[in-house]
Amino acid sequence: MPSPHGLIVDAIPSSPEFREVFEQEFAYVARALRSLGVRNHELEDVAHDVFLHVYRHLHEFDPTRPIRPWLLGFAVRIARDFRALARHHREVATVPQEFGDSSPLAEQILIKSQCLELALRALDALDPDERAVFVAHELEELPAPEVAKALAIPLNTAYSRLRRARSKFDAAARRLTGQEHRR
Amino acid sequence: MSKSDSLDSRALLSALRDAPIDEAAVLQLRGRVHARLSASILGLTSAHASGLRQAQPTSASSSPSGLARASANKSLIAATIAPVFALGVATGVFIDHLQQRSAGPRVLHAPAATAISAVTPPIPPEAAEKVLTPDALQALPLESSNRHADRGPVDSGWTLRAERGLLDEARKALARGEPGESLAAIDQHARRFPHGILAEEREALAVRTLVALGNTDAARARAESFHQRFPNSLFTPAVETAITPTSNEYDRRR
Repeated sequence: MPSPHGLIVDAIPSSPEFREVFEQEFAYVARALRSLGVRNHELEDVAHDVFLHVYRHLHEFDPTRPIRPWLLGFAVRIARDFRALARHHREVATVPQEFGDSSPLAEQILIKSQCLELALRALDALDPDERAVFVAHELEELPAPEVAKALAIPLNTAYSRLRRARSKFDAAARRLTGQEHRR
Repeated sequence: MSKSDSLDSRALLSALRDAPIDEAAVLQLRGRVHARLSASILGLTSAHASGLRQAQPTSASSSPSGLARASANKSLIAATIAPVFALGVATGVFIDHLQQRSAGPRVLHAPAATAISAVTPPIPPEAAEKVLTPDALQALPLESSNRHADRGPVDSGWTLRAERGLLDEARKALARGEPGESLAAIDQHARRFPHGILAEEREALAVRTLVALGNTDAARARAESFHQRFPNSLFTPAVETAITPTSNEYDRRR
């Protein structure tokens, strides 16, 4: 029934779903984006784009399933597109080192540690597709079939990317921790 | 498949997996993203990028939002952290572009604007000047099938596309500087989907549109109703900003 202000007033409350997802899962998404290679100073832009997509596609989400793999799918796609465009625009050359970002707009959402810094650098040795699978499986601990589903790739592809990613990550980790045995 | 057996790898992985989060930093970041999200959805841009976007008002092929904002952020690194909104002119294009650039992980659908054009008759010019009044509303038939209670899974996909199409139309019209057309699309949405999934977005958009039309009293009243109806809305900051006397839109019409 109309209100005195010319508005329709109804008894059905607005769905708080997006707001809930946003508030509850923001930290998860931000952490995932960092693992996927998004830098501190890019986090605001990329997180904004991720949640804009989430807002627009939330109705497609199957509420009987866990939401994090679904969110991770967005995070992976948007982080990848962002990196690709950044490369295209030669922005990468000006990307500051991890933790070297002095922008007041760039919070360091993960507490800095030497191990963390090395881990992020080791992840940089992976190509984006390998990195996405690796992050989803090794960090987010999704089983391989769930990874394949979240990233919309065939299961075999997920396995082969994971194999390559592990091999590269191990090599980078050895190199970075100064224990690489050259062959 | 065996896990990585390198001790170094495992140490680094667990450092990453267990890295503590700086809660204060996350909240700050979340607050900024929240403000920008509500602005983006309603067709506003944040102060960070407004200059850049206004320089390219109609370029659908310009660099995507994130990169554009990254560049803008660099030149505005000392800019105020508080979200200050300016009237965006290219956000309709921007959101469409985002939608085309990356659909959801599992489901693809046709562009909303295309879907709606097949079912929505053109808006008559006289409708552009009409403000939603109680009388006008009472005279309009409500589609009971659009109510939450009756919305089934078969219907919801089509309904949402239709809703989205109307609100996209409204947002684009507003971005073009044609608030009359924007209001016509908003009214149409209100008639067809009074309790629609996007009712919250519509009401927030309506406040901005009324401000743009210079109808600040109606805008204030609608904002008040908005706050009552959606007390915990994503769009609360944007609605407040729209009716704040210092906002650009408001000034322009005083």
